[in-house]
Amino acid sequence: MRLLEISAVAKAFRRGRVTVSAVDSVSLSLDAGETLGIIGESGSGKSTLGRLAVGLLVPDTGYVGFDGVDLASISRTELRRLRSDIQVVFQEPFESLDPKMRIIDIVQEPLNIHRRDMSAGERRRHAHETLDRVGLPDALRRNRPAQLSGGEQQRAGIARAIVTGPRLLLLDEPTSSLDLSLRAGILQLLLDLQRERNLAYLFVSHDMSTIEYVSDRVAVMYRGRIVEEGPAQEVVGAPMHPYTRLLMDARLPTDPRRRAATRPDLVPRRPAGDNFCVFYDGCPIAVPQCGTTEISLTRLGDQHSVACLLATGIDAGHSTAS
Amino acid sequence: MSADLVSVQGLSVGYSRRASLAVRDVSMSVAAGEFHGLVGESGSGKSTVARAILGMYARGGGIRGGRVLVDGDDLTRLPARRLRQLRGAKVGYIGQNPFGALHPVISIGDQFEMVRRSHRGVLGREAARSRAASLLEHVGIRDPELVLRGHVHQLSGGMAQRVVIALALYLEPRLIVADEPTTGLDVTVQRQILDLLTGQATRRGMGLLLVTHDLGVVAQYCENVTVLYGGRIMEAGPVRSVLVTPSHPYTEALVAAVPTRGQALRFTAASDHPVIDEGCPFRRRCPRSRPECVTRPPAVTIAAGWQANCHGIDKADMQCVS
Repeated sequence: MRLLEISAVAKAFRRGRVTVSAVDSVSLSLDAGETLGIIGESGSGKSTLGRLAVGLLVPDTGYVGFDGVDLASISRTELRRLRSDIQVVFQEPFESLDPKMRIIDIVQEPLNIHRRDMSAGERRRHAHETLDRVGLPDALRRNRPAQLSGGEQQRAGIARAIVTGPRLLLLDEPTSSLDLSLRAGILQLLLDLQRERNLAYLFVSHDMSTIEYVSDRVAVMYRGRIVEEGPAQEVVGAPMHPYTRLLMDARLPTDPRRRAATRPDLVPRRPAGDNFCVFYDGCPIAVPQCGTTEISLTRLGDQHSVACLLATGIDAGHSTAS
Repeated sequence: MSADLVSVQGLSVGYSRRASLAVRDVSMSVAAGEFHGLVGESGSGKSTVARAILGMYARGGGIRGGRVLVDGDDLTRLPARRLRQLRGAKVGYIGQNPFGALHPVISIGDQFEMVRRSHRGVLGREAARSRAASLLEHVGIRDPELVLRGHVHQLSGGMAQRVVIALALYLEPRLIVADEPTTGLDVTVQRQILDLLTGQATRRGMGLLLVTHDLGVVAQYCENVTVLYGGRIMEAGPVRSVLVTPSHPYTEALVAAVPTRGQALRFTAASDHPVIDEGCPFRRRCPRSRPECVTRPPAVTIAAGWQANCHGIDKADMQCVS
């Protein structure tokens, strides 16, 4: 059984009179000790998908199962109990830490809720041990979040997330607000923790190099759909969907000897209808059939799936895309 | 020297009498037609330097030492009226947030008109309008007339930034200062905007000071780079030298911190705050730190036009190499 199983979930938000579909018929799964990277640009629905996966949002339709338990079928009390198994690290550590509380109390708080079986002294000790593990110095633990730097705040956020011994972590852009030289230290900490504790990571980010570095598998989102999913090396190294390719081409290598070539601009087209390609109106290689043929995520390789008519070669008269 | 559009000489900037200096003893220059990257993490002082080139200081801030020459004029001695003429006409500025730069209730067209009038209208009104439209077209706006009649709230972030670029180009300045011009934008839009900006600058023979925390952006677009940390210059020189074989331990750490699949992450642990005093700001995190680092680091010339401020660079070694 997979640790996390998501099947055909959809979530729409109402904005005034308009309903905006944030996530549409998305399925994915995750095993213990594995990292699934979810990459997409703003508005792609990647954060919404992350929140659906950990029960912070309830899907309109579809199934979210954790360890075989349907999150929609259980009571609020049971869901609360599950929270010690499923935790979240947010993008803005400062905004996710109570500004009035001391760091040590913030880290101990989940234990006060989930581990009533431990004595107050044990909970305190365990909170300190967790802070030791994430490398937050003793001297800072009686401080409040505002007195810490961004990197230190994120270490506190990670300590709070792992203190109850969860099995699944949602990491929602955990390093995006950090400076480059601090980012690497936080990524290494997350990788070490995963190995030690067999944690499953759902890693949401817009940053290609981070996603590529941490993920076993990668799902690429565009306008609420997954357009490509597969092993990280394949998706990043040999992308099959034109949108994934565009994302990869937009990366700028830090080695000036490997300057990226100038790319062609997007080709404007009228968007295709609901069940058709979500990238039709921007795709540089689309053919007319792309706007009139239904497309869904189709398995191509062993573990590699793509939602592209041209890549999968269905009824398009092309066997491969350029 | 005379070819320099901007020459910053021993610049120190402080934000209040008591607080320590935000920028200390920074010297750098940008020649006509040169694309120069100014790189640093948050708090490094890179925006302070960029704004000093336009004679702009945040509240309470001001120059505490050194001088800034723009096209031979010393900004510290320039009367306010001359300074206003210089901004926009000689140096164009593009900031991070286009929504903060554009007026919310004045139409885009009227904002172009305001720029023209405040610089005593070199062009007639009609000629100016068509020039604004053609500039908008050059930065990739498909229906310039519609945008000129409209307001900023009708634009996406990428479109609004294109308008800001067009405004910065409007008076044909000889230098553009762009401070994190694409930081809030999606990667695919970032590439388009930077390609446009650098393309227009090349075409018009303008110099460009590109302020960023993104090494990929510098590697792609700049010839030379200045690396700041804790308000001081760590290293400066040709991009092909500094980013490929960095001399300063800080630059080295920065380049190594970019996650690359299959390579171990390298990073500096411990405190993430720079040390602000006479000595090297990086010494607490530096792997090559030595006792004399509490004193002012010497400027070591590695090759022509390439310098690093560091006690740890072995000069004898350097001579052997070169």
